[in-house]
Amino acid sequence: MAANAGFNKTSQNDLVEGVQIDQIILGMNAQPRVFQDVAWIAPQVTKPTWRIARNDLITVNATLAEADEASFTSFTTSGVEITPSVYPVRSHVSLELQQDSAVDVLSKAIADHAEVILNAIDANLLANISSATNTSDYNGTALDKAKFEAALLAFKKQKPNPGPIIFVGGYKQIADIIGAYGDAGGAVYGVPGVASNAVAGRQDSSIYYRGTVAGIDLFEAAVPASGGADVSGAFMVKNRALALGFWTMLDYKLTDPAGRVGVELMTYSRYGSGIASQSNLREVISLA
Amino acid sequence: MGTNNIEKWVVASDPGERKLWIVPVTNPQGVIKYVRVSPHVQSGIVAGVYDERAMDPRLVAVQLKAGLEDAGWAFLADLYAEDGQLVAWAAFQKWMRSTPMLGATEAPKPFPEKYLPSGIAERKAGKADHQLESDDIVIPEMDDPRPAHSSKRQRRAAGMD
Repeated sequence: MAANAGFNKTSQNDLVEGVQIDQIILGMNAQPRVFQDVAWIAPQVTKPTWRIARNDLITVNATLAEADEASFTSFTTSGVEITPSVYPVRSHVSLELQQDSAVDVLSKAIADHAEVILNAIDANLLANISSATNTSDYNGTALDKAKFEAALLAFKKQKPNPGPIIFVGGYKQIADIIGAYGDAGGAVYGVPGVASNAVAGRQDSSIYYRGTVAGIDLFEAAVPASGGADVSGAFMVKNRALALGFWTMLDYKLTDPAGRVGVELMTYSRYGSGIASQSNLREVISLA
Repeated sequence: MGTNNIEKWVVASDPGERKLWIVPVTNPQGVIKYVRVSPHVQSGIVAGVYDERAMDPRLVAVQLKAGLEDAGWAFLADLYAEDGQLVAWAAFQKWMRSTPMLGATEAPKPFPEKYLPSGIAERKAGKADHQLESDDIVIPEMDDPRPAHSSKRQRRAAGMD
């Protein structure tokens, strides 16, 4: 049958409105950042180099004979030095877009630049896990309870500095650990909520903290890939293993570009990262 | 040891598309580690020398941190060079580029173990220089055939006590 003539979007097309753009713009698809929670952060370094000094372990074994003179003991320190580099993101924001856009495009551009820089900070901080000198290598296999506990024991034998021990791992690593402890059943969950809250933890893609197993806080993070099919997670002392120094945390500048309309936006951070102490970090390689 | 005229790394990038270099090294036990270095990532294992005259920095050379080489750490590229197998090093670099380390979403097949440098197998077998154990404890007196009459009962039986 033929369409009935009358009022329709073709005959009245001059009255049809455009697109309604929602004010909520979905963010970039990236794993939640953990650096702000796990790293040792120096928010405002003012010297060209940030040095993290630590005391060396000194033991004094000499016994003193009666009436004898005590010998002198030397106490030494070691240090890790972190230097910064500028991380810039630069864009031209056209006049046309500023005038025609449904949102404040300049604010959006600054926020988007910041998002890229913060994601990179997270990735670069976690990339330091690949430089741990202590490694538990389970490449090609999934983490299980025995492996997790063996790696934890090895980590403790490194005699890390005092502080909460956390595990920062990839999606599968965390899922494997929680699954393994869940499968262990009654012994672990005999007292619900006391032994672990990880299995019943809320699943929310903005939350990287995945609860506790065996007293270890689990953090789901974008840890570095290791080889073909594995990732490098890590045991670490919270805020005492990976170090992040900011000379400029985040700033931007607007420039009027010669010969063009619109503005030039540059957002930047000046930072450096490293490992504060190898004793406080243990890489755990397993399937991704 | 090693050679300085080969690139011992593969160029990767971080989420902001800035360069990040992955330098494969072996630890003393023969575990291959993919160490990341960049001006923003100061590795605890590898020191990088950069040409930062341009905004896009360039990695010029890498060096193991002091003491690590003696402890048994080595660049994978150097181990291949020692074997005279730089062809294999090129294949390893190519394999690295096909992995999630450089953004691939699917994991490729593992790099064949038989094509890894001999230094890896040596370390895994515990036979590398740094793994040579000190001599076994030997107390010759206790290794000599014991006298037959070592126990009181035997000595009595032999009429010695």
